[in-house]
Amino acid sequence: MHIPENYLSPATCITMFAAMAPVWYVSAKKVKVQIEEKKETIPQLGIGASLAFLIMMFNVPVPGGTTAHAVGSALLAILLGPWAACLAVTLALVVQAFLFGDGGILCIGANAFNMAFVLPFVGYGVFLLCKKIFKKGGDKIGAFAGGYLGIVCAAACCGIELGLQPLLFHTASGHPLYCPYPLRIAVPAMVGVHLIVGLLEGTISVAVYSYIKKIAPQTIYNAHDYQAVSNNAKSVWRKAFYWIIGIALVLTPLGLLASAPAWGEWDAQGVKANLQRYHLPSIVPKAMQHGNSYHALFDGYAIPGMNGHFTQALGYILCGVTAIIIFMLVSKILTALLSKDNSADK
Amino acid sequence: MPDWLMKTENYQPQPQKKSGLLSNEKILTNLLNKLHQESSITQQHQFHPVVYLINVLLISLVLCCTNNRLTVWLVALYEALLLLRLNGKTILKIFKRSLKLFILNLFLYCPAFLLGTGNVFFLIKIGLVFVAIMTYATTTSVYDFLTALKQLHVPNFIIFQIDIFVKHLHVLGDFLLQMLQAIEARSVGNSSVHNHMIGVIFGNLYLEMVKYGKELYNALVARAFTGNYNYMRHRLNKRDYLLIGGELAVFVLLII
Repeated sequence: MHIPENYLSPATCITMFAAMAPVWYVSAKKVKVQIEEKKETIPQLGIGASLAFLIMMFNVPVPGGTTAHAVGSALLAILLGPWAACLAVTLALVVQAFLFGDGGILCIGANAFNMAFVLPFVGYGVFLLCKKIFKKGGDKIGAFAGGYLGIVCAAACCGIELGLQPLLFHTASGHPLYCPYPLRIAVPAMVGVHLIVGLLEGTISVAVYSYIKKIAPQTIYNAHDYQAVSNNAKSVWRKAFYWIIGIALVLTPLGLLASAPAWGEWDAQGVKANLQRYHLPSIVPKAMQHGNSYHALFDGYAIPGMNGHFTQALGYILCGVTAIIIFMLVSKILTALLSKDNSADK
Repeated sequence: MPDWLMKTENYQPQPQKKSGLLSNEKILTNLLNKLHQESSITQQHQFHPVVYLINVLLISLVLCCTNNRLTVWLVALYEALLLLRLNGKTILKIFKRSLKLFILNLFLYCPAFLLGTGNVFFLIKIGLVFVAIMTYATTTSVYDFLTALKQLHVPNFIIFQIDIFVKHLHVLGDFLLQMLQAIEARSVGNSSVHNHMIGVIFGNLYLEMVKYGKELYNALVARAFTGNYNYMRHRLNKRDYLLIGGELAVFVLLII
């Protein structure tokens, strides 16, 4: 679901940034209030970003020869709150784009709109709705349905963003300048793939939610008065998450088993091959030939210059470790900055 | 009574910018405050001083010698892991200091980029070296640094010089500030005399320093100081062995 560079026009990218700017602003404000009540929110943001990052590394093969991945935003929205989830997933997306070349830098706004806004908010809304509708086990049904519907809605938004490109931006002769797939192809392709991946997103959401509910129910967002939560429960929460992240990290190389790129994340050659498949004129859009080409330091989650199976797996784990360390450092620095602000206010 | 005496006049002297020498007063005050704050930093890394110093030197050596991206990546991760042990405020301080050094370095390196021979990878390596050094400088007390030097068999007279320099930086800075304040208190209006007093001030400072140094040395000798820093001994603990393991890994990277 990470839209790569040159798939969206600069105008679309700016529009998506403009759409996300107020969301980020409100999220930051809401999370600041959340932090005042619950100091652990910042480290939890780092942990949440790490978890989302690792979940996104698990590619699963889907019908049609492509791959897709879960995101984990709905889970974070349920555990940390939708506003905190929005910031955590945005952080993960920024690191992915700049350091690992996953998703375009200009497309961060669009990717954040899909994965850090639509997904967690739809997921959390469905979770709350199910909790109201179903008297027994509503929360677990909600966690699954939230994850499932959240990722499907996010995929639909992604499909619309991609599908609008050939309609809005094309040459005088009608050839698309950016993403060449129209709405009738992009939306069904994205939604179709994520109808299957939604099962994975839902399963991850409900499994982790059930586990956390069992061992530290007080730590779940809005579940209880957080002031009354004991330090023991907080420590159990942290330990549980460290275990989950550790296991996810060790298992990340499984994502390499599905080596095909995801739908709409092809390079120029891949685009050309797929145009033929969809019976579209096989002309690579101009932006993909001469557009922005940013090469991230660890492009494709790989160790530069090493292509063996073992080194690929090692590279995958190293990327995961790098991202986790970055998120932890960022959360520590944010804690320091915010405590400085608070002491200045006082 | 003449008319001019009968006039009510609210004379407000123009605020004058402190000229020349006195303009340094504020800088000196800030510097002394900063030195005072720095000395209150608690030791955070809790590693053996020698082991940690060798660690920093080894990291710097590996980064300077290698051109392999994987090695640099692993060293960066190792550094980041060491940073993660510290609290947020210290990490922020380390990054701020490293950034200042990096910007200065970037300024010096700019011509290479203008001539088309710049190398971003080199800058990344330099940035990592700065972070390693700043981590050490921020988290290590002067006493620990001197201990490390002693155990690395650095001659006693060098340790003594550094020790005296650091310990009496505050005293001399304070003395200089008092002199500047005394000059300001005795001067009226905007006078250019201040600028001619640099020699006098620093001359007096030197004399005071010599006098203070003699007194200090005599006091040390009276307390049985022979010029040897034999009391500086630290024992290795579990953390140090872990760090030594990390150092060995870095050393292996260097060999590979």
